[in-house]
Amino acid sequence: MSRAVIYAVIAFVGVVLQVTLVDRLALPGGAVPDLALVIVVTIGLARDPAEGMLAGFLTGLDLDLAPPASHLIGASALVFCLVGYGCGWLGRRLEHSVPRLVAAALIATAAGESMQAAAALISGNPNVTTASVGRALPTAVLYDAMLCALALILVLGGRHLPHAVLVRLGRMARRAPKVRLGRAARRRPTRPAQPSALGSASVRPAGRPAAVPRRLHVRSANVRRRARRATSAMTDRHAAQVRQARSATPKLHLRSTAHTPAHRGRAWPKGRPQ
Amino acid sequence: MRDTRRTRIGLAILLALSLGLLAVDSLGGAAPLRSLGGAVFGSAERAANAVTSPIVSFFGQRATAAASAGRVRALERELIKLRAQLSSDQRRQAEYAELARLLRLSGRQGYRVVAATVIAVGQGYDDAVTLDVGGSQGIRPQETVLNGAGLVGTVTSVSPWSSTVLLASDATAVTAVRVVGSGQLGWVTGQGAGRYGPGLLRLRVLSGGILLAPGQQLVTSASPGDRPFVPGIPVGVITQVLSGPGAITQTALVRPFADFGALDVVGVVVGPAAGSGATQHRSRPGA
Repeated sequence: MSRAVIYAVIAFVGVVLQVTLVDRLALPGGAVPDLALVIVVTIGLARDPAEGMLAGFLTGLDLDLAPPASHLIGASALVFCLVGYGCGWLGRRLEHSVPRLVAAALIATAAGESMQAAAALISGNPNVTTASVGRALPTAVLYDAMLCALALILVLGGRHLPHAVLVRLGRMARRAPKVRLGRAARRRPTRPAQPSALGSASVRPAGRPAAVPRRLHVRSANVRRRARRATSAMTDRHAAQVRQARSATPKLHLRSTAHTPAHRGRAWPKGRPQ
Repeated sequence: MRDTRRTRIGLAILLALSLGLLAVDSLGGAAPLRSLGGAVFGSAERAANAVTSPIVSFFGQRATAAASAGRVRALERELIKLRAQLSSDQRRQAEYAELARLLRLSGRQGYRVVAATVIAVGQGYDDAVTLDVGGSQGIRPQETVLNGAGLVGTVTSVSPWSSTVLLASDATAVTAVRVVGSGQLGWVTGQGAGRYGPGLLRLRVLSGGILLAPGQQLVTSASPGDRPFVPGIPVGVITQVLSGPGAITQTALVRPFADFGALDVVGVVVGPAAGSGATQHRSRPGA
């Protein structure tokens, strides 16, 4: 519910800015960006389908109601609702890396502008002809995608930029190998703990395990799931290396006390031994 | 939230709501919603305009020196008043005497003009603008809007603090015009597509044997009750004649005097000056 209020406020401000400011600017190319579309695409890509369609509906409704609009009420709401849902769908299937998000923004804004033009053409608006759409669309999509990429980087990356800088500085100085701050740090997928049985340096797996790809972390189920998968993959790889090391050095096997995957299922079938 | 069944039900509900709004509006039942939107967004746009208009005039169409902007605005207001005055004066000249007599328009002194500022323009392909005057300033629908250069359009909807103007360049706008000199009657339509359009108007004249020629000027023709257009407002000049002789209607392209892409100060003709004989004329329904 609070999301709906936030999106309603964002939509209201965006639409008022669109008609009072952006539409009155004379930008090169003749076209102007569509702030409403940028808002909907950004929310959709950064969040999920439900929030994308909610933001799309609210923004479209505002566009229908803001005074100079003379088209039918509901037309923009319909189009933007679909655009928001589609962007949410797209965003959940993409890794949140900047180039992919920019490409997604380009596709989504092109689709959004085309859908608006198509809706106007279908409804028989005599102002819209294929010739005028052909003139206007490419430039408008270019402006939209640029704004959208900027907004996405700010929304997704902005929170993490200070943290990323700190981490880098810390690593460079070798003072703080792991700087962890705030919620962002807690959400980072953690590396699996070294099996405590293998305290000695001789059995530490050769070569560092593949690090989790450093991407812009967002609080989405998708990313969390992927991180979990990567973590379990590393654990498995560790286990394999541990087994190998153990077969090579049986002494270590005797010293081991904890539950390594190799151990599990063999010892203490009924609870812990007393 | 995930893309679950709940989300899809929500999508279906929102889409159904949009389609319902579309249906209600196309059946003509969304007037209260539109007036509510006009009141809310009109006020917000008026407030936002205080911030955005300096930005628009700085980055915008015409680089007006900031120092002289106030004087320019005052002069533009003056010019609009004079233009309205001139149109009524011209109408009284010999060329219009006959028409004026026919429509019982003679004896009027001029028009009352309310000066207004454009605070918002249509999004996308809409060719309409919002003015910062509304019902509380005496604006009513179907009133003529002009600026210092010529005809701008006509008021289509009014909310308490703002009003919407359909520009003459919109493809749905039809303006009855008269060719200066030959006196032919015709109508002008826009070619639409807002800022992306060609910016020219299309004139059609029921040909009376007199051929159109580039360079001829057009003024608005008289409308019953001065709505939607008061007579004699300059509209544009013919730049190219499209159809040759022999066609039933002659078609020509017209360059409008008003620059629809850079509207700022405009005037709304709210009625004749007090004491004219127009009231009884206006009360005639459908005349």
